[in-house]
Amino acid sequence: MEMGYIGFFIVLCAVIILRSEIHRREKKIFYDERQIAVRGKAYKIGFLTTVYCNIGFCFLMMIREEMRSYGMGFLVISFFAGILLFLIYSIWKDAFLPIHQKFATYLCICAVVTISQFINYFSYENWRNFSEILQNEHILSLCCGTLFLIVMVMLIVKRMMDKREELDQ
Amino acid sequence: MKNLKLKAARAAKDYSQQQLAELCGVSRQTINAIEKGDYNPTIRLCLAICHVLDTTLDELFWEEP
Repeated sequence: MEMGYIGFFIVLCAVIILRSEIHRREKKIFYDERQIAVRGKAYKIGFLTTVYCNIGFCFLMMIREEMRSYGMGFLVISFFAGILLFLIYSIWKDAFLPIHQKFATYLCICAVVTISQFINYFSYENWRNFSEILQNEHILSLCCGTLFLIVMVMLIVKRMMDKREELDQ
Repeated sequence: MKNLKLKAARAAKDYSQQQLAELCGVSRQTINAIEKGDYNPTIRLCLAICHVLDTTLDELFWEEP
């Protein structure tokens, strides 16, 4: 198995285990009714984004034969695009962090994943060659690192906006 | 439509949005959304808010047609 896949799945398992551990310890964590409704809409947006991206890429591969070798890369991009839209909508509408969840915990997770994924990506000798990246497993590291970086930035920005709103109430 | 009655009732009890949210078991942003008129709470949440603020549903949530 290629190192790119191994690195990605190690980080994914670490995140899942860490999240389960956090939820096990902090039993009072839950989403309120408004957050559940918003997350429902976010799931829909994420799902439709993935579907439309896949349709777009399929159409592109039909008309441009040379693009067919990028099939796996396009699949990964559309999958992560859906997740990204879900996360962006949830964070923007204050439905990402559950009640009583510590902001710093999620920020640390995002930072660790971002750094590890980018280290994994940039350690690849041909990391500048994007057309080659689309055809190998390093696209996973690039997409995952980018996703968590965007989430981290959004969380920080939203936190600052939230603090200002709290003072203005 | 903004819920100014809720804001006034909260201010009368000297509660911040965060304090009211914790007492009602929701996030501060949900209370903010209700006050701004961006979210219609369920009856359950309306009752919880009324219990905390010691008011009735009519006083906080009734709107003239």
